[in-house]
Amino acid sequence: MSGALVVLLSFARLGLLSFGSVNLAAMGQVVVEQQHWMTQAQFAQSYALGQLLPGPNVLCIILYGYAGAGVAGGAAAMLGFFLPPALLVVGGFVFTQRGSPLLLRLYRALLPIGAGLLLAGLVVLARGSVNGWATGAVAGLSFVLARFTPLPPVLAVVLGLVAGALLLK
Amino acid sequence: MPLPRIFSGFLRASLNAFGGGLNAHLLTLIRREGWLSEAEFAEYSTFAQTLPGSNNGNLSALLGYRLAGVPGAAAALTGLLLPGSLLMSVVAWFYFGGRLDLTSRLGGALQGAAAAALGISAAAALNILRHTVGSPVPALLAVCTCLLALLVHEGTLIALAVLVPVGMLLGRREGSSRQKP
Repeated sequence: MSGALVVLLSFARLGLLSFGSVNLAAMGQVVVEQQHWMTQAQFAQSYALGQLLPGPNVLCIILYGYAGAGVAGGAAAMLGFFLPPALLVVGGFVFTQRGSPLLLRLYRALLPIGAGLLLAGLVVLARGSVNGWATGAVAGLSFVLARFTPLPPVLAVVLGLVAGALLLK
Repeated sequence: MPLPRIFSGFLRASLNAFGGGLNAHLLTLIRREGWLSEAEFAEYSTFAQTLPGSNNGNLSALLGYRLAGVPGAAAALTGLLLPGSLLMSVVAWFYFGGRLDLTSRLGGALQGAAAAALGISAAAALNILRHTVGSPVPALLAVCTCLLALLVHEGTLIALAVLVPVGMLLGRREGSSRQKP
């Protein structure tokens, strides 16, 4: 199977497994552990680059796809990740009764699942990003900046870039 | 509704959401253009989150569809994703094309950015978790899901297949007990 097709199918599956937020845990399993397209550190760095660009944060999937199959892989990751859910949501909009009690109950049942996937994603990011006291301190300070100050969170990522350049390597 | 107007509206929302807050910018867009009521926006947000995929991607497709059918959905998604995708492709070309010396300070900088991204994501997650897993049973379901996703092959699928029905059953009991005073 050609590389781009593998990326397309992998990300179609990952899109359909994403609830609440992007399923980074499942994404890491595919991209790092199964396909070996990149290291755990590259996985976390790519995610950070996604935070720095406009649009949804999930744009890091272009980097994951690119690592798998070049430019075509990046496009395949986008198509695979966004298109099937978009078709589902539009189809669901046409064919189901929104606001029905059953749908609302499904929504509520999915909330803790989404929360668990979110937590798992944080663990995967931590494995790839924190490798010593300096990165640990950057992560902690960024948390504080985002949680307790009105500053835009993206500023923390920019500060992290600067701190990393000065303290690491 | 003319497609170029939908495209440019979502394009602008996407560019404004530099570094996050995309959902708020989508709300601003539909308010400013007078496209939909806020109640409708909230209803669509919930529906978009009930189905898998990117929440804002799904929501944009849904809003575009509501405005101009399937071509509207395509215009909205394209506007939302185009600028970031093009930029990110350039970044990918540098990053994975072997065109950067990652043993230099740049490698350290990216590692610092990754650690910072973890910090801000944890802060964002905390906000979400407070609203979704406030009581013991949802918290337990969330922990089970987390462990499955991390430790078990195809753990997400197992969590969805087993824990969603459990959550729905518990939800029903909660609902019926609430009705009886």
